[in-house]
Amino acid sequence: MKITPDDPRLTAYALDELDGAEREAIETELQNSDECRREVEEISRAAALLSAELAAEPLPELPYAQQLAIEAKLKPDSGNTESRRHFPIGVLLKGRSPIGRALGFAAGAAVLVGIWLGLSSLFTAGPGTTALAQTQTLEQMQKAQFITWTQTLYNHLTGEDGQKWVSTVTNRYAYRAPGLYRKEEIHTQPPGWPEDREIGAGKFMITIADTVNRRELTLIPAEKRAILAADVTITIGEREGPYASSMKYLKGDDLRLVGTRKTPTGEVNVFRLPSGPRHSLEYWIDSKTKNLVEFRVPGTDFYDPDTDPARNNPPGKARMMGPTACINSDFVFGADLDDSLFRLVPPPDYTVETRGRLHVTEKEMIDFLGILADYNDKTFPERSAFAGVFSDGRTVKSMEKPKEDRTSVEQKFAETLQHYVKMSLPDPIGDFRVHSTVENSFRYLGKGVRLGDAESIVCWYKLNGAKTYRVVYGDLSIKDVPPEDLPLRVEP
Amino acid sequence: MDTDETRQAEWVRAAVDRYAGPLTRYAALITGDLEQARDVVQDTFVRLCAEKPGTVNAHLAQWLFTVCRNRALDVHRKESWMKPLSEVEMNSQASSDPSPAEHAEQRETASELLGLLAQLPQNQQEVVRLKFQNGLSYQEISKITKLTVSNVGFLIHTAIKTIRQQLKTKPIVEIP
Repeated sequence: MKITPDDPRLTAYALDELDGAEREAIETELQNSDECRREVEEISRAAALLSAELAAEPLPELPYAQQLAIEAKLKPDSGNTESRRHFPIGVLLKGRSPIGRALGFAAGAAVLVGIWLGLSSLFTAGPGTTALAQTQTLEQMQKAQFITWTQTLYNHLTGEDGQKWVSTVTNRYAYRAPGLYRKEEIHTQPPGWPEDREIGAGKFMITIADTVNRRELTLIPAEKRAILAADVTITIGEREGPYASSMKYLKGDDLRLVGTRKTPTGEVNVFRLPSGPRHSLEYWIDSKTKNLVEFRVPGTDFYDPDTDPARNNPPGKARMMGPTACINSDFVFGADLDDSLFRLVPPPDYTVETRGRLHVTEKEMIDFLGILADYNDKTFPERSAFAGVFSDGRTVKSMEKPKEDRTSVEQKFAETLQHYVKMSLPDPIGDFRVHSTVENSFRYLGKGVRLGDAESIVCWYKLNGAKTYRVVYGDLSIKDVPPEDLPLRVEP
Repeated sequence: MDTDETRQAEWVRAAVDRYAGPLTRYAALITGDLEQARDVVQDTFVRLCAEKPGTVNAHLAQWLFTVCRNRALDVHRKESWMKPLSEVEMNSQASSDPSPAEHAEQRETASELLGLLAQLPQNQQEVVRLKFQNGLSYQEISKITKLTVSNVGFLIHTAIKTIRQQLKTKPIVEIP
């Protein structure tokens, strides 16, 4: 078999669409053709770019009425208007539209019925302390490196006797720019709902999502279980920042000032954006500071928990649950959070299920470079050691040592190598270079640079789709630099 | 509701949750109209309600996209009397309309890459989106579109090649 660079089978090979025999045949051919190998690499890069771009497209929402129609088909009393009024929240889409996202439907069929139990590392300051006083402007929201906030969902539950009461659900969120989210919740379900076989009821659950690289890590500490998924549609939040799509309406012409309200921290101006027959968006802006205080979906024109007739009713045995409202509040900008809260690395003692194809992110690549340097007497190694294999046999010796005999640096090094081997990514830097950077843009100048040296360049590269280069220094800091400012000439 | 019915309902709800958005976007590509696309997706899930998980679950995505496509084409044929366009013509026509996502979310900007994708013939856009946006295999796309696997491979190959060539010759700019 002879292949040319224009052979569709090369595309099929690059997209992992060939079966064993065809695949082997192509691989044999590739061994003899530099041109075809380059073609495969380029196809892979184009495919990765396409996947990333298409993944970032917003998903249209399926409106409430159409979901009702589907739900009606699932019930024996199909067509009964009473049953439609009790449409359960779990059927709704999980936060894919701006409204859906704002409503926090990520809770899905599993609804939090407990209160926050102090299990979360995000609650060190305690809910409702000084967060409101620290809210910032929309610009601050967009520019903040870290943001934390509380999301409260109000659900109407209906008992066997038709009595209604309100159940509140509280989720804690954190955001780290660019595009990293953390959500902490207790995964429980209302009475009468079928058990979620994926994650059991009552479990404390943490979800960390990387919207840039489309990866999501779910941790279930009680089971020491982690689910690491790649190439997934991220539903926790938007790539551009929390509620970016909804926040952009603050600048639009359709926004209306509908009144003022007194809050514990002062008066707020209430701005509303009508959004269909059942929804509106409402922004509560501090009248003095102009900072965002609350973001409500729907607005108080549809639901106000303070005046809800069912707000003081005692709970009973739930038969049905309906969606009511979501309030996002307690925004804290510039929160003092540890980066490790956003790492998509399962704890070493967790069992890990992986789903989809995984690739190394920029942060993981830089962390890995740092670990290599730390292991190599705090000096960045030569390129040949990129996979963690040093020519003097140190790696094997460290790995063969019993865990208790390893130094902390050796242990970290060994754990990291094992982690990437477990993920089928034995060459993390190579994986990052191939999948995330422009061909031939990765340049390594790190050999001999001391770890922590903020003046010396370790490497630079151009991320796919970027216009500038990323320069990594010995202290693992990164700067965006135009090509003309690099110390060496690079290809345009 | 007995256990089977409960299980059936949960199965459909999970499918709605997972696929309603992608199917709406896909249907909008065919109908060119978001509201029609939503009706199509509603019909698709109503049909799913009549299926048993055991018979469909192994190829759920393929089943949903196939039913959605067929229904969307029906609607498109029915509604296209104002601007007659056969399926063959539609498949070979280079689209000048905004993408469904742009329709749906009224995006003000699109990346260069998505702009190039929107210029490809409709059949190439369709298979590219099925492959890269919905993660379907050549085999699944073949079943959905009733094209041969080879034809699917050729369309995707051609689309990627065209986009790569365009990217090499065009500067990266935002489309206003």
